[in-house]
This record gives sequence, C-alpha cells and structure tokens, in this order.
Amino acid sequence: MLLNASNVEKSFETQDGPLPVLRGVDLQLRAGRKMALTGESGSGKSTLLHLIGGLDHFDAGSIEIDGESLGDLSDQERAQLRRDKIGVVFQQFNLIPSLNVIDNLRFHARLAGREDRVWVDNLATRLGLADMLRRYPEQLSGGQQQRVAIGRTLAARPKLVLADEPTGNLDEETSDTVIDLMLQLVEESGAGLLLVTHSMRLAKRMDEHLHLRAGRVA
Amino acid sequence: MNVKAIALIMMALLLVAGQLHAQGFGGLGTQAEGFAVPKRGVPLEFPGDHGAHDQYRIEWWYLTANLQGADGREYGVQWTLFRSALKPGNGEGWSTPQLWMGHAALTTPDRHFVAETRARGGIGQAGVTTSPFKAWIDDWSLVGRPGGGDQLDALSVKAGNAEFSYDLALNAEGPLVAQGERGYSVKSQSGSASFYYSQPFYRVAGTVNLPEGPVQVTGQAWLDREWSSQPLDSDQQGWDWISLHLDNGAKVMGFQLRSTDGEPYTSATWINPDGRPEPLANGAISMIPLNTTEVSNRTVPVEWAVKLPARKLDIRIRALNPKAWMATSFPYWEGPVSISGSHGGRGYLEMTGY
Amino acid sequence: MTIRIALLALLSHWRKKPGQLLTLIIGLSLATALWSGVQAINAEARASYARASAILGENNLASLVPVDGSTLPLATFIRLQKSGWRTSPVLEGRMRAGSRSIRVIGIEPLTAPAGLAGRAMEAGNGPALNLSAFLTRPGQIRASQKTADLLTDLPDLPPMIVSEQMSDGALLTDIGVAERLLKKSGRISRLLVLPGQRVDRLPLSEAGPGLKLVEPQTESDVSKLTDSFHLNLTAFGLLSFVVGLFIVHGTVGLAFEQRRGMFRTLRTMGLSARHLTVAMVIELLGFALLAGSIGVTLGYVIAASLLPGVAATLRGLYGAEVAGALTFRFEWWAAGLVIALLGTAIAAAGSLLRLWRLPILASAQPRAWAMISGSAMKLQAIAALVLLLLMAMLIGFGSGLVVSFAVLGSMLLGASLALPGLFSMVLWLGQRMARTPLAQWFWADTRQQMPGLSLALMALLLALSANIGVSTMVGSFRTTFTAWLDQRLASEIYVTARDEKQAERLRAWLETRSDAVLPIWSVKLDLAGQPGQLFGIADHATYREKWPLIEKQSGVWDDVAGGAAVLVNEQLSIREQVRTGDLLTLAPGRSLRIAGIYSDYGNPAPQVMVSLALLTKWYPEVSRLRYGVRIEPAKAPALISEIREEFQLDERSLVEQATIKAFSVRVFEQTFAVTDALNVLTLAIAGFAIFTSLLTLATMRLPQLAPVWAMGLTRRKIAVMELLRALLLAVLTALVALPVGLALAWALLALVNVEAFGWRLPMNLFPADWFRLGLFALLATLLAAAIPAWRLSRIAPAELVKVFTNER
Repeated sequence: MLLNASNVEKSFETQDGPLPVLRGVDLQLRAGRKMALTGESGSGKSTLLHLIGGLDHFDAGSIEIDGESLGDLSDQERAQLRRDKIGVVFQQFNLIPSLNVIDNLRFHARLAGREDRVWVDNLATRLGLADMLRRYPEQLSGGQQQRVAIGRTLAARPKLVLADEPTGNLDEETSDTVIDLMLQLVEESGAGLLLVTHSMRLAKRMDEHLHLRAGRVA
Repeated sequence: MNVKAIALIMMALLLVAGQLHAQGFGGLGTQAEGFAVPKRGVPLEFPGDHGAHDQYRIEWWYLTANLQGADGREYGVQWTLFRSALKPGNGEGWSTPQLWMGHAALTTPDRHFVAETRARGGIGQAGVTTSPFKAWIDDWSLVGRPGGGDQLDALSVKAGNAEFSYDLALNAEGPLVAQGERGYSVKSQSGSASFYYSQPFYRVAGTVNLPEGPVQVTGQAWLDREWSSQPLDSDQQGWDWISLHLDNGAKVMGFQLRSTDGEPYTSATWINPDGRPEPLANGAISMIPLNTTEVSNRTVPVEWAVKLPARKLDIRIRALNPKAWMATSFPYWEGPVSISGSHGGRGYLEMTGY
Repeated sequence: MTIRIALLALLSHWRKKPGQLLTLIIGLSLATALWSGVQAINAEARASYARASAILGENNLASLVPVDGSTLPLATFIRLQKSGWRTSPVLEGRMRAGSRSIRVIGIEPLTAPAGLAGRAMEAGNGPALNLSAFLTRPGQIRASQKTADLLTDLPDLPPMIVSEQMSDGALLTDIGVAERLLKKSGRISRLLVLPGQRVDRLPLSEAGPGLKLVEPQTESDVSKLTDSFHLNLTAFGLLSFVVGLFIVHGTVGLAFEQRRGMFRTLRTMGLSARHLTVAMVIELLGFALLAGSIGVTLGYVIAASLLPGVAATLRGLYGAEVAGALTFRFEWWAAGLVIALLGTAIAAAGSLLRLWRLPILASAQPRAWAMISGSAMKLQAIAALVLLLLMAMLIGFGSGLVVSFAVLGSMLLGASLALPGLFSMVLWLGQRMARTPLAQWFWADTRQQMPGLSLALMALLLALSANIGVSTMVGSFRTTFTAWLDQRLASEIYVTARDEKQAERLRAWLETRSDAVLPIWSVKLDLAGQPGQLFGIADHATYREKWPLIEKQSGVWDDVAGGAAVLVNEQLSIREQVRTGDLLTLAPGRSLRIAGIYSDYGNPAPQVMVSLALLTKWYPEVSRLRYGVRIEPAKAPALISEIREEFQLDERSLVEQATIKAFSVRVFEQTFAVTDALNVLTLAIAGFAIFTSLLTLATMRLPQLAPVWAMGLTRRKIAVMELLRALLLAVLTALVALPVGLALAWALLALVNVEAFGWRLPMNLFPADWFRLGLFALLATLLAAAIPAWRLSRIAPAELVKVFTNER
C-alpha cells in the first residue's frame, strides 16, 4: 500500500475554540493508482492533502506512506520523506522565484539526489517548456508556471504526487491542457496521484474517488 | 539736590554684576540695616560734613557748571563723585565696603561727552578728605585751594577721558546754603529724607578741551552735597530736578519725584542773592513738560514750564543740547538749560526714570 | 473633516502594525539623536571658547607687568590711575588643594573691562553674582563643580558658588580674597590696560617705572585648530543621520505599499488624491515631531555623556578649555526638530509623490516594492560610476577645502550606489560556481534579496567606512603626533628665564649640571604676508639626530649651521608652494636656500629656522630667554626641582618633557574613547536598519521560502540559511567598506587636513582595528538577523501552507 490513512483527525485553533476539520478519515491508495478527492469548501480536503504531505501535524489517527508512519517522524525526517517520496503541486507559488525554469525543474530532483537529465529534458519538451528554460517564474503565465511545477514534481520521480487544485487559478481551456499533460506524465512515471479538485468531470477520470463532507468520508 | 542718583549709583553697581533684579527703588529703601538714617534737627557741621559719611549708604559731591567761551558759545560741565556703601563703616585695603563712582560730562550745543570710572575705597584710588578738602577718583579731582573762609570756597576741578577733559577754577561768591529744614530734605509724603546742602554761588574760569582743541571759558557753577540711606518710596519711578541761576542773582533748586500713582512729590528752595534760603513745601513748585526729544530710544522732555507762584516765577527752561544723555552704567539725562519768561538765566536739568 | 477621517483611517494601520510604527519612530529618533548630540557637543565647545577668551581677556587686552617678573604693589596701581591710566588689577597664582594645584584668579570687578567681570559671573546657569557678597568679607569663590569638589576639604575658604562658566582647575574671586589665599597682601600680578586711554596720560616710564607693556598675545586661534576635531564629529553626525534616513525611508515605503488597498478603498469612496496626500503629510509631520523630540532628548544624553571626554581631548590637544558639563540650549530643540522634519520629508518624498499620482485601481504590490528592476540597478550603477569618475577628476584637478569635501561626498555616495550592482555580480558568480542545488538556491535567493536589503546595506557600508576612515585618521594622528613629539620635544627640560640677567645666570648654572643647554630664540616677523616666527637653532647633535624633517637635502645641518640655508615648516612650504632647493626671501638681501622641511603639527603659522649666529646677527636685540636642557631623563625631575628652587620659576616657565608626553597620551586615549563611542552608535544604527529591513522582508519572503520547505527542507535549516545569508552580505559589505574607509581616511588626512590646516599626516594602518570592527559588524548583523530567523524557524506550518492556497 502506497498510502494508508486511518481515522485521521485534525482541528484548528480559532478564537471560538478548536474547530474540527477532519473527524476520522480513512483513505488507502495503492502505487500507480490515481485518486480524486472532492468536497465542498471547508470539507477538509486540502487539509487532508497537507497532512499526507507531512506539511502539518494531525491530532489523531495514523498516516503511512510507503511503509513509513508519519506520526513517528521528526521534523527532519518528514522533510527527508518529502524530498524522497512526495511531490506536491499547489494552486500557486510552487516555484522558487530566484531560479529560472530549468533550475526549478531540476531543483527537487537534485535535492532528492536523483537527477536524470534525459528525463528532465523529456519532461521539458513534453510540457512545452523547451524554449523558455532560461526564463524566471515571474516572466511566465499562470499556465506555464503550473506546467513547470508539474515538471519539477515529476522530475524527482516521487512515489506519490499530491496535487491541490493545480489548475484552480487557470481558465478552462488551459486547465484541460495542463491536467491532460499531468495525468499522462504521472501515468508514465508510475507514481500514485492524489488530486484535490472541485471538478466532478475531472474526478471521473481518476481510478478512485473519495468525497469528503464536513470532515468525514461521504 | 538729586534724590535720583541714590538709586542711580546702586543700580549702576548692581549692573556691573549683571544683577538687574532691582525693581523700582523701594527694594533698596527697605534694607537699611545698620546704616544711619538722617534725623530732623541735626545741625550741619563744617568742615566735617564736607567729607564722607561712612555710616550712610549713599553720598555724592555733585558739581554742574554753565559756561561760555569768549565767543559767547555755551558749554555745560558736570563732575560727580558718588559714594555707595555695601555695609556701614570702613575697612582696610580691599576689604572696605565703600565703593566709588565718578561721572564727568562736557556739553556743547551739538555734542555731549560722557565719561565714567569706578573704584574701591580703602586703597586710595578714590576718596574724600577735609582740611584741606580733596575729593578724587583716579585722575579726576575736586580740590580745595588755599584761601580764607570755608574749605569749599575755592576749588579746582578736573576730569576727562580720551575724547574730552576740563580743568576749572571755582570761587564762591556767597555762603553755603542748607536745603530743606536746615539741611534736612524730605523726599516723600512718608517722610524719607536726606541731608542736603549746596554751594550755588561759584564763579568759574578755566579750560575745556574738545577733540578740536582747548577753549577758555567762564561762568557759574553749583555744588550739591547730599547723603542718605533710605531715599525713595517704592512707588517713586523717577525724578526731574533743576538748579537755576537767575539773572537777578537769586537761585532756585526744585525737584519733583514722579509717582506711579497720583501726584508727584515736589520740593523747592528759593535762594536769595545774599544766600538766605526759603524752603518751599510740597506743591509750591509746578513743572510741566512742553516738548520732548528722542534720545537713546527713549522719549525725554527737554522743554519745561516751571512755575513758582509764591515767588511770581513763571518761566520756560529749554535744554542747550536735547541729546545730553548720560550713557553710563545707569543712564539718565543731565545737561545745561536756558531760562526765559518772567526771569532769565541759566541752569541745569536732570531727569531719570524715562 | 474629510482629512480627519482619512487621517483616522491611515492611522489605524499603525494600530495593527505597532512594530512598524516603533521602527519608524526609533529610526528617526536615532538619526536625530546622533546628529543633534554631535551638534550639541560642537556648540558647547564653541561657546566655551568664546567664554574662555572673554574671561581671561588676555587675547585682546594688553597688560602691564613688572619687568623683573615679580608682583607690583598696590601703590603703583594707584599712581597709574592718578596719572590718567585706566587699568584693572589682577592677582593670579597657584594654591595647593591636596595633591592638586589650583589656579587662583583675583579680579577687581569695578574696574574690570566691561565684559570681564560680568561675563565671568553672570548668565548661563550659574547663580548671578551678588556684588555685595562678592566684595565684602568673607567674599565668594566661583569655581566649576570639579574644582569645588577639590576645595571642599580646605579650611578657611569663603563660600563657594559653583558655576559651570568656570574652567576646571581655576577659581575666580575678588582680588581682596585672592591676596589672602595666595598670601600676597597688597600685591598685583598684572594690570589689564583698558581700551580708550587718555593720550595726555603720563608716560609709563614716569607713572609706572619698573613696568613693561605686554601686547595682547597673538596666540594661535584655538577655534581654528579645533575645527579639525569638530569636523570629524560633524561628519559622524551627518553619516549617522543619513543612515537613520535609510531606516525611515524603508519604513515609510513599506507602510505605503501595505496601505495601497486602503488608499484604493478611500479613493473609490470619493476621497481626492490631494486630501489623501495632505492626510499622509499630517501623519508624517506628527511622527517627525514626536521622533524629533525623542531624538533631541536622546542627543542631549549622548552629548552629556560624551562631553567630558571631548572636553579632555580639546583641552589636552589644543589647550582649549571646554566645560565638562552641558547646558541645554533652545537652538538644539529647534535645530533637532527641523532636521527631523527635513529628514522625514526627504525619506518620504518618494512615497508621497507616488500617492499623489496613484491610479485609483492600483493593486497592492509589496513584493514589487522590495525588488528593483534591472534597469533601475543599471541606472544606479551608472550614477555610481559617474560619481567615482567625478571624484577622481576632483582629486586630479581640483583644490581647496570645498573640493576636498566634494571628494568625500562623491566617494561615499558613489561607493554606496555601486554596492547593489557589485553585490549582484558577486552573487551571480557564486551562483554559477555552486555545485549543490541548495547552494545554488542560496546564492540565487540572496541575489534576489539584494534590492530589498540594499538600502540597509548601503547604510552599513557608510557606517563601516566612516568608522574605518575616522579611526584610521585619529589613529594616524596619534601615532604621528606622539612620534613627532618625541622628535620635536628633544630636550628633557624647557625653561624660560624672566629676563636677560637671569638667563645668563641660568646658562652658567646649567652648564655644569646638564649635558647641553640649547637656546630657543625667536623673533616674530611676517612670512609670506602672514605673521610667523623665525627661530635660531644651535648646531647640536640633538637636532641632527631627532628633528622631524620630512624633506631634506644632503648636508642639510651643515648648511644651516654655516648660515647657508634655512629650514621651513610644512605649513610654509605648502602655503608658498616652496620645496627644498628653492630660495626663501626673509627680507631684502636675506635670501637663503631651503635645505629642509619639518613637520609642525598644531601650529597654523609659518615658521623658519636659521642658525643661531644668523639670527643674532640679524636681530641683535632678540629675546634670549628660552632654553632646552638636555639631561638623562631619569635626572630631569630632580634638576627641575633644583632650578625651581634656585630661580623661583613658575610652572609655565619650567616644563618637563615627560609630563607633556604623558599628558598627550592621556589626551589621545580620551579622543579614542569618544571616537569609539560614536563608532558603536553608528554601527548600532546601521544594525537597526538591517534589522528592520529583514523584518520587513520576512513577511514577504514566505512565498519564496514555502516551495523549498514543501520540497523537503526543514524550517530550521531554512532559518539557518537566512542567517548565513545576512552574514554573507555583512561580510561582503565589510570587505567593500575597508577600501572605501581607507580612501576616506586618505582624503581626510591628505586633502581635508592639508586644505584646512596646512599639514599632511602620514597614514598608518591598523588591521587589528579593522578586524575588531568587522567582528562588530558581524555581531550587529547577527543580532539583526536573529529575530527574523528565529521567527521563521518557529512559524506554524499552516502559515506556510497558506501561501499555496487562495486564502492569502
């Protein structure tokens, strides 16, 4: 099992006391499978994704990724885990603004210590970035930026790709192109994918579909 | 004579120290601790009273002269020695509390020269002795010459600075004159007073030295002697004082002490040509300013209507030089005047507190 | 009304960001504080000079003194006054108070020159003189607090009035009290000759036989000499102020960007750009006044704590008496507030202009604010280049004091402007050479931080260069000056006889008791249109071995001794543009070759040296009173006691070289204490500028850091890299500051000093100081970067995650 989350609980401190966001969520994803995570705003789908990515701490339950239990890991070890096994694509600000496109593409892979130049070049070509490798993120359009983000994530060959509304800021046409590319490339890389999305149309293209409502699996 | 100089010298000395806190003159009047106070009925005694009275706070030898050159040009000369005691009595060397100040002035119709000098008592830089009479500060002096009669009857006077000087011989043609009640001169309703006598009958001959050269002069002079300890009331802001040589040989001394509230306090003495004084009470003399001039940023009356009805005196006095401003440590106006109206003659006018 | 509402809205921002408000106020206060503190010190010193010359009056009044150097009797004074002279007696002497000797000045206030007694006693914060108490027994003593403390144990003293108008170590009293304290009853030291003497007064020979007229001393002008010292202080003050302005500029700019949204809302609600601008001007005015007041108060504290050191320096170095305490002057308040307002205006001008022109629908872009576009940086680099070229041209072709200052200005400004471009290049190189992705990111990201930090770094550069520059200058001054003292004060003892007869006896007496007696005789004369001095020197090994020649021809001493050549001081050579080998004409028919030039610090006047024989031939009447005595240093104190015993010479006439040297060392220690204090203060301000910049950037940086974190870097590691980044920039700045600081020192020593005072000081380098300063700079930066870094390491992951979602 690539990803095994069981009975995950998480609440946020607010001025009116703790606000439960996840109230015991179970989720399993096998290697190479693609899962859509949908739900209303505030249903806790992004929070769940962040917890799985080791970006935040959960209150109760357990999350195992590739056999490692997140709850037992130190800050340092979680960072190592993110480096080695996880790739994240967010809605925005995925790129390092001080590095140009090619350096961004390579960055995560080099950090993880497994840079594959052929694969990176391949990715860049497939993503249509070949003639903008020397540009800086601020010189790219939103769609281009997200394509770089996807390329950067896949370049490191993670076992698990987490995507949080990667096209939420893009218009429909661009969005479709970017999603198509992402799904194709994830498939080719053999990684598992957990995709948070609003779009039912998109959800249907996944192998599995989990719907959250008020912090529980519906 | 001039009650004014009392405050004047005190102010001047305080000014040296930069202490300008003395407000009005009353503050001075209240602190007469230890000083002798003039008493009614104490007779003047000569030559002793020509000298300094260390037990009193203030004292002066005040000479003014109306002079003419051979060409008829008018001149005025002032020679004054002030004594001021910080404490009663004397002491040796620097430790004496007696301080001295000299003022000298020479006035022409268009110019006015002023000099001032100060000295400590006790070291010989300034002082007054009798038998023979000598009053001096630095190289300025008023010295008795040998001769019969009173020690003040024949005097030589000299003073000067880098710009001007004078050297005059004085000869009295009449007796000493006691002012007020036989020398006891009241200065206010409340009764503060001084001892005051004069020698108004001098004939003068000598030389005045102007920047352009010496001029031989002759004329008349008037010497005032006054000492006191507690001269002024707190509401008295200044004074106007005159000494007049009338053409008929009579002399007039008059002053008014201007009060901040109400009428001035006046006093006058009519001195007959034979020297017999007739003291006149408060209100007998009236002095009304007619014309003013601007000098040293102040407005000063330089023409007056003076009336003494008891003596049928109704005159105008006019300054020879309206700009006769004494720019000394404590500034005041002092200069020669001419007389017209019911009587003619010459005299001196002094004004303070403007 | 509208403006009031707008103002309230604007001010609400600060309630939300109190830290920012604090930064603004602190920045402006510190800037104002150092500036006004330095101004206060300068003003106080200048006031003291004026006071000193007024109290002693010796600079402008002639005096009568006994020919035999003793005192004169009271009777002589009276005789002079009666002969038409106008003088005022002064009795002066020294009195022991424990181990110290106190100078007693007795004056006679009634005759004293109008200003003397009055100015010595009135005014200021000392109690006004009560003449009666001063003159009558037991009298009064006026002294500074310090002197008064020394005197408290002495019995039999009149009541003491503490007056800060008095110089330390001296007391002023009535001559009657002085004669008692000094046990000189009826005696007078000298008579001040008052202005406006009668022409027909008796001549001195008749009125005061045995007295001689001493013309007012043509002493070197104290305030001119001390100008160099004040110049340094002023430079410091100005630099700190500029540094402070960087802080204010940064804060005001940031607040502007953060409030863009508010501006937009206010504008859409119908507030005109004019009203909005006026509201912001009022807001800034309020801040400036507040910060200005705090700054002036702070400046007063700084000045008050530094002044004793400054006073000691000035007293020692230039003999200028400066009271060790500060009086509060109204002008400082005014000047301090004006400078605060001016500074705020300069710092905020850009923001106000943008507000004025702001399109209604402009969006907030605080990130853009922190970036400077490449073209702007290029422009800055070009400006820097132009300034540095201008500087080079000024050095090459210009002359004069103003030009020297222009050199300083263009040097500092040019270097500051060049800094961001230079760094950008260095960081780019670093990025190119980086092997690991983290290193690559480190360099790239540092480079991206440059624009946001450049103002703070420029401030640090200015502070560091100023520190290096001024320390190097003061240090060079110390090294040179003490070495020069060693050469110049070659004799162990300096003695001045009262008269020719005593001098002759002294010479004979010393013949057997010392190694050598060297005459130091001189006449005053005009040299090149300026009052100067002509010295005659003996042909002695002392000169050959020690005299501080900075330029010489071979055989110089033989030529001078033989009457064939002269030596001139550096001032004369610079002013007249003469060098060795040139002919110098002292008088018609007296032209001699210049064989050597010697350094002559502390003296603004031209000087020439010839052989003793030539001097006495030209000026047979030359005063032959001064001598240098050579003896084994260990024996000097004993000999001095003997001379004093035998010849009854006072302290001024008998000086031991070791005393002077020890004193000058103490003086320099004081100077350094002051310089150090100012160094630390300017560095602290620059550190604060860095701190505020980093704090500001920290919030904007999250989007730049979050992806790295998401990709697997711990917050701690990122924080450590942030710290390293700040240190790297500080080190780079320090590296640039070193040459700039040295150039500054060079300009101060070789240009400004020469133009202003006529002498050039060789530059000495003090690497240990640089190292220390570098450490300070790193420490300051570390402190400044620590808090933002610490906060970053502690930031809640949720905050970082937020970056990626639309919740921001």
